[in-house]
Amino acid sequence: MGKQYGFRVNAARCTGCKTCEMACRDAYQLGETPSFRRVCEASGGTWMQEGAAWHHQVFTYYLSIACNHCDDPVCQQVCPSGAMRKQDDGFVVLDSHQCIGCGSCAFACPYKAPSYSRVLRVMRKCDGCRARVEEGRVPLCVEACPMRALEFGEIDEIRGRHGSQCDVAPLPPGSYTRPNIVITSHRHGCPSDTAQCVLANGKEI
Amino acid sequence: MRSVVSEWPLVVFTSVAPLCAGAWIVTALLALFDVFPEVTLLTTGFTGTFFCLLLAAALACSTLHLGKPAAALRAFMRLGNSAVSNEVFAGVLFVVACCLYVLVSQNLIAAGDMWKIPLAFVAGCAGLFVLFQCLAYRMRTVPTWHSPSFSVEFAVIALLGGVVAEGVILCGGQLGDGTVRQGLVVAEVLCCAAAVFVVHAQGAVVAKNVRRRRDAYRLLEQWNVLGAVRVLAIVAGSTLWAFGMLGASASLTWAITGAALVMAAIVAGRYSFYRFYANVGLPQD
Repeated sequence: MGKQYGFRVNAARCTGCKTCEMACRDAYQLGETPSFRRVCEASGGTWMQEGAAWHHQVFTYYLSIACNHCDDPVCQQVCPSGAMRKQDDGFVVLDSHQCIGCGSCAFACPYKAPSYSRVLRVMRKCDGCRARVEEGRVPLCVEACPMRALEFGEIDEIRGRHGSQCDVAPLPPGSYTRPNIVITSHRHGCPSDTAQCVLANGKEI
Repeated sequence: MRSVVSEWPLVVFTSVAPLCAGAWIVTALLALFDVFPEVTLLTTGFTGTFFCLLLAAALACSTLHLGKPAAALRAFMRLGNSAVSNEVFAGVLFVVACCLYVLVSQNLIAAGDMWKIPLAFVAGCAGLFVLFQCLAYRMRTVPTWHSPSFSVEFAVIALLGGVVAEGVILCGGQLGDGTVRQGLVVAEVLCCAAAVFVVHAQGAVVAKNVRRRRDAYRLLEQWNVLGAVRVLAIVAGSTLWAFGMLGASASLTWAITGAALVMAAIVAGRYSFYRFYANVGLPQD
């Protein structure tokens, strides 16, 4: 395999505005299909007593998450029709003509990347704006982000600049699928698998 | 992911298909060891046809959960590489094998003991299907389904349902003597104990894996109620069924009532399987 592209999410910058999500929805005319990119709101904290007074120490941070084009894509492994494939350029791409809409990939993916289209009756997912990348441009979500919280490029270069942190709640530990994503953590960022923070907008994403 | 309601075809398929497989395995064991003289009746005529049709209907029903049911045959594309492909292939092989067996069984039985070889093959296909079904949902990112207690449930359903179904047929046809029925009741008691243990073990897995969810308490309350209903239905159903089997003159009514309760417990278990699905990552509401 040649190049492996990946995303970097700077949680310290992301304000949860969802411009990335909207740009993607508009460009791919997703309609009733859930978004390819979703902004997760992680929140936690508690109340603390100090003398007779109570203070809260609550926090929220946002993570913009789409398909991470994992090195060990569990969606591809469970797909019975061969529709989901990791390509030579590292993108995990869904062939909608091959897909039978069984939903196995959605059950397996820990990032909720594949979603079911009730109109097309097949699964759909982020392909990393492969066509744009071939033209030398960055994916739409990255281009649209007003806070420049998203970055796209060859994952080795990104990891060289920003490290390889990806185990941030509410995402699972990277050891499950080896995602090609780097997360610059928010100052309140919690490690994966913690019970200290929960996904606050589970119904929304 | 779609809601648990949209997965109803899979609830039906994973309840009925293992039951048919279990019935064929139990029948084959009874037949291969010549447990009673009329044992061949269990695999031929109405009984054999009934289980073939039920199995074919369950398999057809399973395609309804697909976005494109007409393209269901593409599920074979990754045979050997995808656990779901293996399960579907084993299911189709089993349907074809038992249908062919039912079609030619009368001729085979008339020709002598040769009929036992194809019957053993059908039972082997049934066993293979149950094995692949146990493995089909084992995804490393879904700790509930990946756990042994959820995987082994398919095998428990097959044996529990198979024994109960064959018992009802024995009662209905007034087949087999007291020893055969006592043997089935002993097998049923063991399966019943295994099923109750499985429900208990699944509870521990669910409790561990839903803790990160905001609605964890609500989910666990639901699990507790459903788990209690399942255990109650399994135990009460098995008891009624055994009562029907061991009565002085076997009571079909008791046996059918017990079997219906056991079936209800199986369906509730399959519903729980999808309802309490938990991924290691983002919750799939």
